Amino acid sequence: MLILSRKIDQAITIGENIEISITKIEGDSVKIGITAPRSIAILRKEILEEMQSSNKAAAAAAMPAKGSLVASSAKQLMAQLKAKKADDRKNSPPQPLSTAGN
Amino acid sequence: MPQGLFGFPDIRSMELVFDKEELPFMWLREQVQDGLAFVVLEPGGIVQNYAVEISDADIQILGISGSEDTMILNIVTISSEHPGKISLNLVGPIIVNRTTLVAKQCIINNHEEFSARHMIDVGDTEA
Repeated sequence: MLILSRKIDQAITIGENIEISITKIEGDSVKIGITAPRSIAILRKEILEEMQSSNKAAAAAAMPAKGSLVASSAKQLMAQLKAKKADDRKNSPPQPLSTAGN
Repeated sequence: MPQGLFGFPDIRSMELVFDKEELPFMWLREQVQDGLAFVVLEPGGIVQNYAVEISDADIQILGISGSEDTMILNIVTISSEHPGKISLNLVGPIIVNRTTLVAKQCIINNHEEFSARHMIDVGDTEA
């Protein structure tokens, strides 16, 4: 890994069209400005890691044996949604499509 | 699925299948015996106020132009210890071009508004 020392407002460039500058240093946190083409994905690494571990957990949980679990969760979820919809209808009756006299 | 999924970069192709009994849950799975499988669902009507903003780069890879030709799938984690609670990943939905079936798991630009472990309490299950 290449490690460079930079001061506030100094920058580094990567290739032809990526520039990274240090904009603020406060205690143990550094504000970094990045200029790059829109096609370059820039992500906080912890989000990427969270997605990886979330996918792995989901895949591990979705074993074939879970089929019945999915079906019963589905039943419960649909029942809930139906109940909620019925509730919504009660609270806000549908508006008439047209008003008389038009 | 040109770039695979996070944590599974080599996956190129999966199929979306469902059983009427299990809807709104569907299965996204590899077309091989004992392959990778996920439980997924379309968030419409289930997650309130969920809006997805994806990057221009992702739009380009997917070749989508608007919501008409787009399907959003959120990966579901069903915990065997707490079967009544399911968790949805709202931060990294799988976006599918309905016409070309190109798909990509995208980290949404507005990820700070949503959780990667959005809990839905489905109550007691009989399983």
